[in-house]
Amino acid sequence: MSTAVMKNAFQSVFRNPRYVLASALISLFMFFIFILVNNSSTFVTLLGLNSPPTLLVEVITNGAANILDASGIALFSSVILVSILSGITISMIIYKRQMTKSFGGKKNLAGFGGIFGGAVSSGCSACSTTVVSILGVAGGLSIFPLKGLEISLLSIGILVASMYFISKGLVESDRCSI
Amino acid sequence: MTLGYFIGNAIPIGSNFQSNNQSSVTNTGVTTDQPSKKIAGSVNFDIPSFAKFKGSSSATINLVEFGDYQCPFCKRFFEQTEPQLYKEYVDTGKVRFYFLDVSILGDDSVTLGQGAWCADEQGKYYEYHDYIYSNQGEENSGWGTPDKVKNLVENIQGLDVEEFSQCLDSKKYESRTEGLTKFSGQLGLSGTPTMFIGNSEMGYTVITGAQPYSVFKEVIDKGLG
Repeated sequence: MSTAVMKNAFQSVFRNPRYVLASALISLFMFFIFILVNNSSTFVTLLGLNSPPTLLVEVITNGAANILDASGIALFSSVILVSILSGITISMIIYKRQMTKSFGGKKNLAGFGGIFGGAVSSGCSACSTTVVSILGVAGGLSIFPLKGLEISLLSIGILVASMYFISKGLVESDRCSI
Repeated sequence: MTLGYFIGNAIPIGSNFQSNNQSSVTNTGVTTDQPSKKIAGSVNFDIPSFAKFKGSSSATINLVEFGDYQCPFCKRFFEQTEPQLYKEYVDTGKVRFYFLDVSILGDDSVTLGQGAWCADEQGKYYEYHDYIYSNQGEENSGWGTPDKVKNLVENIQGLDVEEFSQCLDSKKYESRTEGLTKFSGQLGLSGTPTMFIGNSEMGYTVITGAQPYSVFKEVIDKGLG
C-alpha cells in the first residue's frame, strides 16, 4: 500500500524532467554541504587568507576521500544515500509547494531532521570532539557498534518516512474529499 | 565560531605546562608601541616546555599537531601529508614540527599517550609516534591496552622494553596526557588532528582535520612571508 502511494507520487513528480534535474543538483549540493559543514573551520581559515577557489575545491575532494579512506565504504555510501534522499525529498517538497501552495505540515518537514542528522554524522575529516561533548562520553561515535553509521541509518529512515508522508499528501491532494 | 572567540587572545596555560623558552609568548592582551604582526583569526598560546620537536631550533614557524593515537584521520595525516611537510619545510629548517597527544577516543588513547612520554624518557618520542601510527589498529578495539602497547614497542629499535613497561605501569605521565587533553580543550580543539601553524609573534592559524598538503603549504607560505 505504502509502496504504491510512493510509486504514484514519484511518477507524478519525476515525469517532469525539471524535477529530476533539480533532484540531481540538490543531491550534489547536499553532498558538498555535508563535507563543507564538517570542514568549516578550514574553509574559514582559507577564506581569511584569500586562498584561491581551487584550494577550496581540493578540501572538498579530500574530504570525500577522507570519509572513504578513514571511515570506510559503509559510511561513505550512507553519506551518498543521505545526499540523494535529501535531493529527492526537497524536490518533492518543492513540487508539493507548487501544486498545493502548502509545505504540508510538520510530518513532511521532518525530512529536514534527516538532512541535519546526515550532516552531523558524515563528511568529517577529523575525529570530532563535538559529538563527544554532545553525548557526554569519551569515544564519540566510536562507542557505537557501527561507529556512528547508526546516525546515518536513522537519517535515512527519517528521510524515507518524510518521503512517504509527502507522497501520501500528494496522492490525497489529487482527489476531492467527500 | 571558535576562531572568532580566540581572535587576538592568548590562552592561559596550567601550572604544569611551563612555556618553552623558544616559543613562549606574553600571555596578556597588553598593547605595545610596536606594530602587530598578528594574523587575523589567529590563536595564541604557549607550547608546553616538555614538548618535543622535529626540525631546526632556528625555524621561524612552528607546526603544532594535536592528535589522538587512535584517530584514523591522524594516521591519514601522518601517512599522506607529514612526509611532504618534512621534505619541504621541516628538513629544510623552515618549520619546527611538534606532536602533542590528546585523548578523546577512550582509555586506550590515554595509555598510548602515556606511552609516548615513556618512550621520550629513552629519547624515542618520535620513533614511538611513527611506529604507533604506522601500526594503528581500529578505534577502541583493544590494540592500545597497556599489554598490547608493551608488545608493540618491542619493535622500536633501541628501546628498552623493561624500562618502558615500568614507566607505563607507574602511570607517571597520566596527569600529563590528561593535562594535554584539557589544554587542547582550552584552545578550542574540535577534533583531531588539529594543527596550529605560526609563532608567538604572528599567532597560530588553526587547521582541523586531515587536510591536503596544499592547505598547509598555503598557510605556511603566508606565514613565512
